Amino acid sequence: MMETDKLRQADFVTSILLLIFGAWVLLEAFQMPMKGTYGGVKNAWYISPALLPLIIGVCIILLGIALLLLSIRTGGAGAFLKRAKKISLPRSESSQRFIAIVLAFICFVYLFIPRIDFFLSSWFFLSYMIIVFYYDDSAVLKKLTILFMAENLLIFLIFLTGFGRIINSGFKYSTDVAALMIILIFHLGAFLYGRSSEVLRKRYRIASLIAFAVPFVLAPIFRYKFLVPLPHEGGIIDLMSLIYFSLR
Amino acid sequence: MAFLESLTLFFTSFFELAIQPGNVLILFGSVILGIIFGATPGLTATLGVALLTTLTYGMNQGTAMIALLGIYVGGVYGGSYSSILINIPGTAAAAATALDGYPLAKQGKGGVALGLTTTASAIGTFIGMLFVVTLSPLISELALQFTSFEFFLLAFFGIIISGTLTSPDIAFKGWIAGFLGLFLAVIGRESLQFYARFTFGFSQLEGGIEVVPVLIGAFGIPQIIQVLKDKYKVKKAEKFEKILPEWRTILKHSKHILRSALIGVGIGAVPGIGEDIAGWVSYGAAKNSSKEPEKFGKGSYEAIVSTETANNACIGGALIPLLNLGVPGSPPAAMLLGALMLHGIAPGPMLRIDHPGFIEQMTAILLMASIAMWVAGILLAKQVVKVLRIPPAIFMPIIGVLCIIGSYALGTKVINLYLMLPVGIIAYFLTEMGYPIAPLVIGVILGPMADSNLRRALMVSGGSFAPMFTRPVSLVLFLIIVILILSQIPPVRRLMQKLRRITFRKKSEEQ
Repeated sequence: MMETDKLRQADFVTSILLLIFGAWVLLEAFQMPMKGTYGGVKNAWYISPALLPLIIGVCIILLGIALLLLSIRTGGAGAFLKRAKKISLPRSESSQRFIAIVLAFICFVYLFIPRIDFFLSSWFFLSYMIIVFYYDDSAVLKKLTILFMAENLLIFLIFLTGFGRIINSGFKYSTDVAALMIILIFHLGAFLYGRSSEVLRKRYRIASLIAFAVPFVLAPIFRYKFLVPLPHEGGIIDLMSLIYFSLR
Repeated sequence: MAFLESLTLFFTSFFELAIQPGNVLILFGSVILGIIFGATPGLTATLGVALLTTLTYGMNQGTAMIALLGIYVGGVYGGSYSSILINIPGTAAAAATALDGYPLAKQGKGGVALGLTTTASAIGTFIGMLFVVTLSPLISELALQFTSFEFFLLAFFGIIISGTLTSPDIAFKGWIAGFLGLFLAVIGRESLQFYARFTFGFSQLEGGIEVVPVLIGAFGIPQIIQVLKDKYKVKKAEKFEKILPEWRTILKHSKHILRSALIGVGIGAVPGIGEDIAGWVSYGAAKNSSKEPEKFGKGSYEAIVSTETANNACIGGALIPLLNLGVPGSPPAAMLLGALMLHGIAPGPMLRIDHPGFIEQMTAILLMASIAMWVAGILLAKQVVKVLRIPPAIFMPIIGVLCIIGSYALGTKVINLYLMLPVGIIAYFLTEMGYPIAPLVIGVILGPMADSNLRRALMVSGGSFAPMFTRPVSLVLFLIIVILILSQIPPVRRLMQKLRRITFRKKSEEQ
């Protein structure tokens, strides 16, 4: 948790956001049926679907006002407004690590999982996360994050332009092959950045092994033991299925 | 008669479950997994229950409950390992244990400390279980008299009390988190008129937000971000000798154990208040009543026995409102509620009628889990401690993948992932800004109960709030809510303090 003076500054921003959010909830709630009939049911204010959202909206606004008053009274609002004039991008190592984690999750969940084979998606995510944080070197973190983001951008463009659909119509695993190439390039980059130090070389070996082994174990467990169809079953999962069902 | 029937059901369930080797294997596996989750800084019992919920989907209900209660009990106990051996509480529940556990380990008494916490935790869980089995029939009988007004106020009370007591900053923030949770709960088509609220035209949102992915996001993602961002380092664990049950010392502190168990059960029964608060309150009570309070913080047996008994007794306490009212007593219990719903069990006053013998089955599992925890704790401590050497940079990303596949697997819907991640990131920011997550989760869980019961109650009364003040239980709940809210308003608080001062001054003048 933040220190108290920073908390009061953050409270100022949160209170404004809460006031906006509460007002929006009320606005939406007022558009819900409160009288007349809806779906054949005669409506009254007390059985309206708007009742709880109205209570929530009012309470959030009241609590937002309380938070705003607290922030003003304790000087948090003033300190924030003074600080806001000289705002700059966060440069601390922990901020960079935070950005790296959030970006990795966003790319994994919104870009890879719905489009690329689950095994490959998880392998790429784990490769990035484990290598970057296990290396524990801020310079490498920056370089590998740039490489990771550039590769994600490439995948994004492949799907955005419709190129993915075109190449998949020729060979249905083309985008998975592209993803596999991208993962291998990432590993090459990670290996090259770590090759100067014996410690990093050892860490690379451990990290890359675990990043591969985890989806290799996890995907079959969920797919064949718990019978969960994976979000996107591409080349690798189909290959696993082929082996599994021919051995059964 | 009812008690005897309950007791017979309890023993029948116990033997039915215990004679199946598969169940025993799953019990020990989940307890050990729980101990590992509890012992590893950054992983919590709640996260353990959340992730295991996915894996229990295909199991029958009894086996699934064995796995989930096993990891819950093991997780709460496991926190003491890292508290004692590396001075970093594995879970918040074991934070108070670190104050005296680590000095003991430094004095070369790590094995004795672990032996004490193992036995105390098992006794705490056992006493908690006794309360579940004895109080449940009474509470569910009482709850059967509840009408919609009482259920609405109970849900509201859960949010307000959990917000007030779990907020690390001001109580307002706990309430805000609770209302944000309530907002998440109203998304989707509501149950009375089937009107779509806050769905923005997305058909995927019409079914509402699924509880389990929200809980996984709210508890898992902030934990992963925090551990990796703040570079948690693996500290070398203190060496310790053989672990023995330490019965003699336990017997010597039986008074503290009994008091701490009562504190644990009491705190556990309050909606949304977790094992961490039970541990701290019990630590404070033990220090205040101790003949040697100066020893606290320097390696006191009384201290570790008290905290560990309380946090494990809290499990039973948390199960009482969960099973009988449908209101979770702690964050892991909230996760357990999600799991129960997945297995087609709706906790609440109707549970005894819809699933006769289920509460007795749960208490039997709690007893099995406390025995398994004790055995695993005494025999496997040295092996479990080895897990503490794994760097967080390796296991946290794996937990990330488990959170994602876990959120997806329950409904096989990618939309659950799309929601889980923003909930997790928002929960991280909220935690950083001093907002507790427990009320948010309580809000998500109790939201549907609050919504449908409020409208149903008003429908019956024709829009009148009068029954709220004429029915004793609802009046009591209403007054508690009002007092809780007023007590957090500064002018009211000042007035109350002034009144208290005047009253005490008058009394002392009279004396």
